[in-house]
Amino acid sequence: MKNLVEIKNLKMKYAVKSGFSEEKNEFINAVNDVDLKIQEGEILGIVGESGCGKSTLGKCILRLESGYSGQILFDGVDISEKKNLKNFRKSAQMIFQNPYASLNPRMKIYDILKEPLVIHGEKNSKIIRQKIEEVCELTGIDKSALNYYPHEFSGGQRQRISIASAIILKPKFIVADEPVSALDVSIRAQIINLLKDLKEKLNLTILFISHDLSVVRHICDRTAVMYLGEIVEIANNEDLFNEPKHPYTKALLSSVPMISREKKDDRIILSGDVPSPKNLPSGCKFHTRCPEVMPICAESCPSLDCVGKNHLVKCHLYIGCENSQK
Amino acid sequence: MKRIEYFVTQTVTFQFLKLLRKQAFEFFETFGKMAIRLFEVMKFILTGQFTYRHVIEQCSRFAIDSLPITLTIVSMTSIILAVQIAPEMVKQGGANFIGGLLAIVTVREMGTIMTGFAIISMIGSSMASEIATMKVTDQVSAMKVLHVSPVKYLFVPRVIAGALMMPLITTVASTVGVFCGGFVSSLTSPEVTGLCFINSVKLGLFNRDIGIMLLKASCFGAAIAHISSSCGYDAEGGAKSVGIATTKAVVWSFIGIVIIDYIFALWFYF
Repeated sequence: MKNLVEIKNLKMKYAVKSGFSEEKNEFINAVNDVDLKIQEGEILGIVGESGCGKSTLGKCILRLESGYSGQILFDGVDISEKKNLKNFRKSAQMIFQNPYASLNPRMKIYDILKEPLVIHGEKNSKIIRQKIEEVCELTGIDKSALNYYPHEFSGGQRQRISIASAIILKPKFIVADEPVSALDVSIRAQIINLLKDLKEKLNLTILFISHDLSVVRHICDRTAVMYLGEIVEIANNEDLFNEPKHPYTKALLSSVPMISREKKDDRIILSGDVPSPKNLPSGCKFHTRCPEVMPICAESCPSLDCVGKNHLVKCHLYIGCENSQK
Repeated sequence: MKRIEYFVTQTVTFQFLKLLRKQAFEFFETFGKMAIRLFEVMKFILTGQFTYRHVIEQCSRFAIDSLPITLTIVSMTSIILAVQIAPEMVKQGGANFIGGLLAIVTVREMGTIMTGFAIISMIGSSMASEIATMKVTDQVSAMKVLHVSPVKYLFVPRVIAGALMMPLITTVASTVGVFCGGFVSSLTSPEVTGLCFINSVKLGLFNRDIGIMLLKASCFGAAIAHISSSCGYDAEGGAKSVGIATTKAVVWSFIGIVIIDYIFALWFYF
């Protein structure tokens, strides 16, 4: 399948103040050397703990963050060039985490949905109305609700409006930044199914950022696991959830509460805290907490190696193993 | 050598210089950002890239919402001034000059600057907090995703509204201020009659003064809108940064209009 998005050596740092000093003289390494390919028509999940750089990665891909280094290619075109930005904006959209905040409270739903069309040159009011009604039908928004303001809707309805606003320009690629985390559990399933339906109907490619592993397992085709700004494992959902390779992925998956889990001992409890992203550990970033740590882990950083079909792992345990194929 | 370095870095002078350097850097950083955005704003205005609906919306906010407080502040200041100077002027035999003096002070300086202060505290702070909230709640990111320039959408209508509405508010406020001052002067000093006051105003005030007032007010309005929007746009993080942005907008706007006022005073009256 064709790669729609290709990320090469992406790095993103934020300058921060340290201690009592008022100067921004330290850096938080939010994303470190990320290489990623997102295939056309797939839903790629990004999971990891809070603060591991998932949202920053999504924002960098959409060029909502400036000051990153590396290359991002969308449909083979480098989006860091300004001349390519307008077309890219039309083809790539974002669904934000909090539908309570990200919709302009002073605009009616009709105006919120109309705005992207007007900005991208649609002037005919009949066509605008028709497109808005189409998108309402797709996302399950009642047409009579178009003259209301966002605060008059429930969280689930607002997220539907956000999704409608994101797909109205018929984009190829959507970054969904924890689109269900602010919603009630009963509404989550509806929104997830809506995203799945839209993906099928519109042939969308979605980068689905979440820390809810069960949601990612349900909706995504492939999943990437992030730790301290790095992708440590990426594989098809079936492989990743059934045969996780990286010790961090194993620990992360074991933290999901399951009724069928027989022994409590099955849970892998990691020692220590996540290291500060200001001072990253040497070698493998996970070695300070890894239950299978080896002397080499503190010395050199492993590369993302292929250990099976479409299964990549960044761990010294799998370097030189039978399945390993560079 | 290290011990000497340690003691030097602990001295109050060193710490003071360090703080001064930090403040200077911060000042130039904020000023630079504002200047870059001002160029962008000018580009959008000169190429006509703005929506009239948004400009009208902001005009109504600027003029209608702020008029009562502006009128109160300017007229109260004029009254205070009249109460203070009228008896003294009468004592010195200058009752015929009270109107002119009050009109010159109000039109040339006080009306504009007091209106500016009122607008900053009422409109500037609300602009900064509104834009800062939009920034921290991802609304600005949503705009960028749609390929809408936040400067064009948020700054331009506000700057145009400020430049258009501020002269209007200042004119109304200064007129009311002068008349309130006149009324109070005649109450406190019976020698100052209505006719004497109006004649004095006519003699003291020139069209040039009114023109400069309008131009200055227009610059003040644009500056307040631009500085407040810019400070709000720099907000990052959460609720704390919205508060910081609002405070910064008020402080920078005050500094901004005082500097503009100084430039006008040097340019036209020196």
